[in-house]
Amino acid sequence: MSEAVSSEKLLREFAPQIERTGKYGKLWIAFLCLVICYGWFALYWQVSRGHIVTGMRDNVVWGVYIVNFIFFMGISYAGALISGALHLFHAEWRKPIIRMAEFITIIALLIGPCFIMLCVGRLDRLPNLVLFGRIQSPITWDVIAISTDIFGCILFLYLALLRDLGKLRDFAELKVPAWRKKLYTFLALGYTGTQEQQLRLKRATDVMAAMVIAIAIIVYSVLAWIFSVTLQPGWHSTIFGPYFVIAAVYSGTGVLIVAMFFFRKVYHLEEHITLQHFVNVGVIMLVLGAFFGYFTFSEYLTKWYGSEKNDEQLIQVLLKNYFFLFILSNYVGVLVPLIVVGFKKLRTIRNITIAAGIVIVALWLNRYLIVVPTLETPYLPIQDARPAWQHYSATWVEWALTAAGCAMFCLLFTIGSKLIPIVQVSELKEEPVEAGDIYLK
Amino acid sequence: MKRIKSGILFTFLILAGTLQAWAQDKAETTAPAVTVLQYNCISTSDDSIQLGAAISVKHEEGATNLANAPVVFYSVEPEGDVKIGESKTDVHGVALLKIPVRNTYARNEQQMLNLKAVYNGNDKFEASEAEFALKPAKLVVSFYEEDSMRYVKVTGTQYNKDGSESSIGAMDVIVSVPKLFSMLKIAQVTLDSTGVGTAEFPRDIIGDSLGNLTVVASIEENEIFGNVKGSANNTWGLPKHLISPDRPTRELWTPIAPLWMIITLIIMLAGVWGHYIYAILQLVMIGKSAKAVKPEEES
Repeated sequence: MSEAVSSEKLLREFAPQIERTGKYGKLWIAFLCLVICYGWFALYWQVSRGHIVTGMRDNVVWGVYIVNFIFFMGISYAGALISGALHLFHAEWRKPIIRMAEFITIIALLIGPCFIMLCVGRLDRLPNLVLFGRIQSPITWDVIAISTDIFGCILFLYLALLRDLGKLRDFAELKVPAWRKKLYTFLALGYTGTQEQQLRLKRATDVMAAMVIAIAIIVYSVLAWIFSVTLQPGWHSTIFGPYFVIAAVYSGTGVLIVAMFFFRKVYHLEEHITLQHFVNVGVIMLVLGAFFGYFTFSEYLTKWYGSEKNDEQLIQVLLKNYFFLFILSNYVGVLVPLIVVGFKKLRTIRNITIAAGIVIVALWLNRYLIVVPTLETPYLPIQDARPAWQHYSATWVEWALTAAGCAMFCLLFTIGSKLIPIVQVSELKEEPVEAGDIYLK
Repeated sequence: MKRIKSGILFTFLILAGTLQAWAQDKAETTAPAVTVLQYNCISTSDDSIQLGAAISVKHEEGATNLANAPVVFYSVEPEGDVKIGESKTDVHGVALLKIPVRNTYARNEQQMLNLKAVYNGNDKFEASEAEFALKPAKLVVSFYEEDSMRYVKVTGTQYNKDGSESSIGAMDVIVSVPKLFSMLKIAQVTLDSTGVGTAEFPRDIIGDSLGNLTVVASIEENEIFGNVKGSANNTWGLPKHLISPDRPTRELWTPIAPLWMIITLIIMLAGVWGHYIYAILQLVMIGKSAKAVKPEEES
């Protein structure tokens, strides 16, 4: 069957997803808007009363907002790495899920930096970062890197969407408002699939796929260096760069698997997203989980064995005050995905999704344990430290804004899936991919 | 669909329950909070005694300073307390009052003044008070050079009941200089029976940009004299090194970044944005080729 015919058939199949939103879809969007409104109220509360309404104080100056920032930036890099790497390896099985990975990249990149804004007390001084930025500062590196990454990922997503935009423009049976038709026409850039256009698109996509991988590694390493270039015990580590990159991609594969599960259920994509896709991404998650476990073990072993006073103090705080979270993050979060994906009998869509959910929670906690307990055991003693301020506890304001960030992520994802088919319609074979064993074909 | 519906409902219930659990309620206290008043008196070299009362409020999480609280200072005398004055605590919870050393307040057998600070409290905060006894004294700091060696000389005197001054006697005095957060001890002077002592002044103390230093001599928590402080300035400090704007150096901590850092950043940004520009050019060419195809089709 020719590409044109198969694409039309797929567009007919996905058209209802784009043309209308059902009752439950509207309820879902309303629920997300409600959570976001609650977040806006919390933001107003924080801006009007100051950061005293959060749990951050003189001792622990970074809390849940920074954790969320690192988490969302991490999953964005995972989306970029996965979509870029699978494109360069010409993995045919990637096509039904590549759009989700690209969406995760962009949306997480837009949400993540917002949490930094919430953490900054004087937003009116934000332009100083650009006007008076010092090249020596890791914060300046991060600003440059994230800006570059956002641009690059949007460009990569656009290149990936170009063919589909052309299909949507040309699909006469699509019943959408005129403004959306005009939008598709404008964004499609007149792409009609001529040989020259295909060649140029392929060159641009190949280049951007490689760049997106490199940028993702550099950007997340820069984020890690904000911590590791300090002398703070718990942060001052030479392996923080690769450790953060591995943790980021690990958490991102978890988010991708969860997204695959939900979209497969809601949009009835069983024919396109099969067990084999879950297994393949699950294998990527397994390998990354093994690396993550190795880096985590190496990090804590060297700290513990060196018996340096400040490191010992930090480990004691972790094991005494954060024992449960430590076990959940570093043991459960590593072992459960390894077991579920490693054993063939346990390899079902539901099990892999549950394992992915555990990975997401575990990696969020991992970032929490990197940020908060470290600040609770400062390198230099803080003068006149109030005992009440030594232990951090997030307030309802911070949790409300966290929930709003997650809701915004889901909302943008939902809106994106309403504008563009969540599964790539161009070049997609009509026949479904059958479930196989763990070895990639 | 049922599962999605129940999932949404479940999530909403969890969210509502969690928000309820995390909602912060202000506990209403009915009993006045316990306050602690710490009273400290210092004899200074300008012939005065500084009375300082610090009030803090005790609560579960620790203690916080109480600002804007009126503190009344008394002299405890056999016939009854004589009011010296009144002052309000500042933002740090400290109320200060200065009285002259030569005053008419009664002294005890050891010729010590008995001073008291009282906070009368209100509905919210309990009353508290504290006492302090001291014999007024003075430390005079001076400097001299001998055989190219520098010395600091401290002379201690005490104010007697009859208004006369006499030697403070044998005593240890700490000589220090104020730094950013605390005092830096630079010498210890032992006063002889005449109340005079000297110590060598170190040559490696950093002053301001001109080498000015404030030197403080102090006796702390003495049984008779309480706290005594005296200070003087000299120019024996090492001038603080300033970065010369005429000769900037490229360091991690200077306004100008190291050259290798700038070059690396330029190469990386040029490489990345060069690829971006290449991709954008391909998109532009796609658009142009589409326009070229369209007129051909129309013709």
